[in-house]
Amino acid sequence: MELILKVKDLAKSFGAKKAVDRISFGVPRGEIMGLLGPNGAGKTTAIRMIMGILPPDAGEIGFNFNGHFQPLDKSKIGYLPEERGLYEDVKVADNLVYLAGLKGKPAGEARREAQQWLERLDLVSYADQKLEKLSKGMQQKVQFVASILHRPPLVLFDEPFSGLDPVNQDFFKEIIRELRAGGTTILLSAHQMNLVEELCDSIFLINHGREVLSGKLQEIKESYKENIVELRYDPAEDGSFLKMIPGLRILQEQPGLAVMRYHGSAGINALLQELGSRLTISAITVEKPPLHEIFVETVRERGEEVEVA
Amino acid sequence: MKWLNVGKVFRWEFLKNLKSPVFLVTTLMIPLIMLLSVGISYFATSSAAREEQQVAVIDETGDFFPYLESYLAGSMVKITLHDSAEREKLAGQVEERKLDGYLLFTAENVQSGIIDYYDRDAKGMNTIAIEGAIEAALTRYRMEKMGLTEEEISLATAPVILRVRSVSGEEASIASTIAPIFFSMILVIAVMISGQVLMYGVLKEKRNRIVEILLSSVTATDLLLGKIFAFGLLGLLQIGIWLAVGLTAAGRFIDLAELGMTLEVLLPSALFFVGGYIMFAAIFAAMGATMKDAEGGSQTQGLVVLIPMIPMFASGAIMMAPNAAWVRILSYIPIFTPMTMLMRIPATTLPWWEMASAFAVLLLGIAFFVYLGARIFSRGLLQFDRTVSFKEMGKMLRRNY
Repeated sequence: MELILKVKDLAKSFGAKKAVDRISFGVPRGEIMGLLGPNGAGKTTAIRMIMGILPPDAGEIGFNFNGHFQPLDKSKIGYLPEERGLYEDVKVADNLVYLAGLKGKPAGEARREAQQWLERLDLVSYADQKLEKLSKGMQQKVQFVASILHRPPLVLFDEPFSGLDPVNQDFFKEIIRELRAGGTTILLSAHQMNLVEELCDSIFLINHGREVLSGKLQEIKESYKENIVELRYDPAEDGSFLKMIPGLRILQEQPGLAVMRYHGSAGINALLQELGSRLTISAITVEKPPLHEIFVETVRERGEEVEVA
Repeated sequence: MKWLNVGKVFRWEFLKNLKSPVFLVTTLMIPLIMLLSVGISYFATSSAAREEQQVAVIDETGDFFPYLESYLAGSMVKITLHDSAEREKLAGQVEERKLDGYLLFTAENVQSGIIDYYDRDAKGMNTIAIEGAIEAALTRYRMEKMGLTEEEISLATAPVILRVRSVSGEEASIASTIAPIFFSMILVIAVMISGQVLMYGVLKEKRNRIVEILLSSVTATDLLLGKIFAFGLLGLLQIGIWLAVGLTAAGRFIDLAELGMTLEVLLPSALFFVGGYIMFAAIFAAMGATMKDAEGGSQTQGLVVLIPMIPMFASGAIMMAPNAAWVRILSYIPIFTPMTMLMRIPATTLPWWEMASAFAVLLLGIAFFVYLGARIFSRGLLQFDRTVSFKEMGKMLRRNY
């Protein structure tokens, strides 16, 4: 898979604190990659270094926009920082045209496309209003458009969903998927992993500035040996034997229902056979735990703490 | 650094701030205030000069009154002669505002030259016209008593005029000294106003959180330079408007050629203004970048921006002695160079080498403060949640923070 962004041994310290500690990863062209971890893990510092806003202490960052790796060209990248805002005392359309202009987009073209975006967002009647007239939710939409109006091949979204209401969250997800469908590569960071794992093709999990896990989301989940099993059976039957199965931990239990975690060496097929032979099953689901749990478990297995900012 | 980006930021900042209320208000209000204050004092003095003063005179010498009368002829002071017995009555008339005051001349007074003038309010009196007339009348009266001839008297009383010239022979007039000083004060005010607007503009961008979005397109240095140039042009535009208004208004009262606004004063003043502006703007912008809000912890930053103003507090002394050793030293301390030179240039005739060397010092200062300012600017901008302390600023300058 061809990479559009390659990061190698990237490091940054603030005083004694290692904010980013020699991380390396690549972002495949045309995919959505999630840079995930708790608050304070180093996501924003890493993204700012990629965007050329902070100078790295060490490491290399390369971009491949046209067949070979080259240093940063800010005009080819869209960026939505975590701390974001626009000129409040300036008209909505003028905000968009200026920011696209800084990225090299001609004013006429930017104004036309800004108009199209505002129509789509139901904000077209606000185009000539000052930004401060808009509600917070509307402003968030405008900020989002500002980051992609110049049609960059690569977009960095830092915590794109923080502070959004559920309607805007869904709307942003829809546009992010659309961007990918149009060939745009996206690197997004988030601390609410459950919110973004459905979006990501691949992930890079980070804690205390260091890599925890990385790779294709599907492969990470499949290689994770634990499963969550939700079992419904005839309430008249006795399910107490479940406790005796090696590698099985019961999370929730009531007559006719058991939610369990299983990582027994016998394997999930053996477990399902045993359950089927001893109980009258009405429903059963087996799924991998959510990404957040995989993250916490992996960190704990390494004897580290999950940083809570 | 990309000049194309500097140009885009420049254009945006210039147009945005040109339309801002602060610019419009300061541009229009300052000349209005200047015109009002000039107008008020002009009309106050001219109307005071037009008002008649009624003064009674008790002349016990018997022959002094005609002298005084002849010297006050045609002035706004009208005098009437009275007898000593009327003194009580005159005092009453002064109280009742029928008279402005009365004068008492005795033989003793006339000899000593100490004359008593009685008024309702001894503090608020305008006695300049009366005093001048009494002095001249008394001098003539004494001389005639001494028996001097008319010829001798006119010789003795011929007026003295102190004519100030430079050694090269130029004649200096009060107008040609005061006007350029006024002019340099306007420059100083413009620097401070546009500098402050720049500082709070940076602070606002930081508070709006737009700054990180800007930095994803342009470098901090591009942003800083674009802003500095935009505010420099705004400052010049503002001065242009003020001067146009001021000179048009002044032209109604005085001959502009007498104001000494020669190219030798204007050209170096403009150079020091623009250079000083760029240096201060870099400092102002850097301070704005380290502030969290306009209150509280920002007061120390507010004090920093006062440092370049220090020569202004000594403006009187500098203009009185523009070539004193301490003033020369001040001219070579970069942060004080522009203000000091702006005040010295109109106040004296400086040799070219002194202007050139001071300007060279200023250029070094610009390079130094723009470099320093850009470093603090780029690193302070992302410190959203607090005001950056001076200790941290030191760190920012030293390390790859």
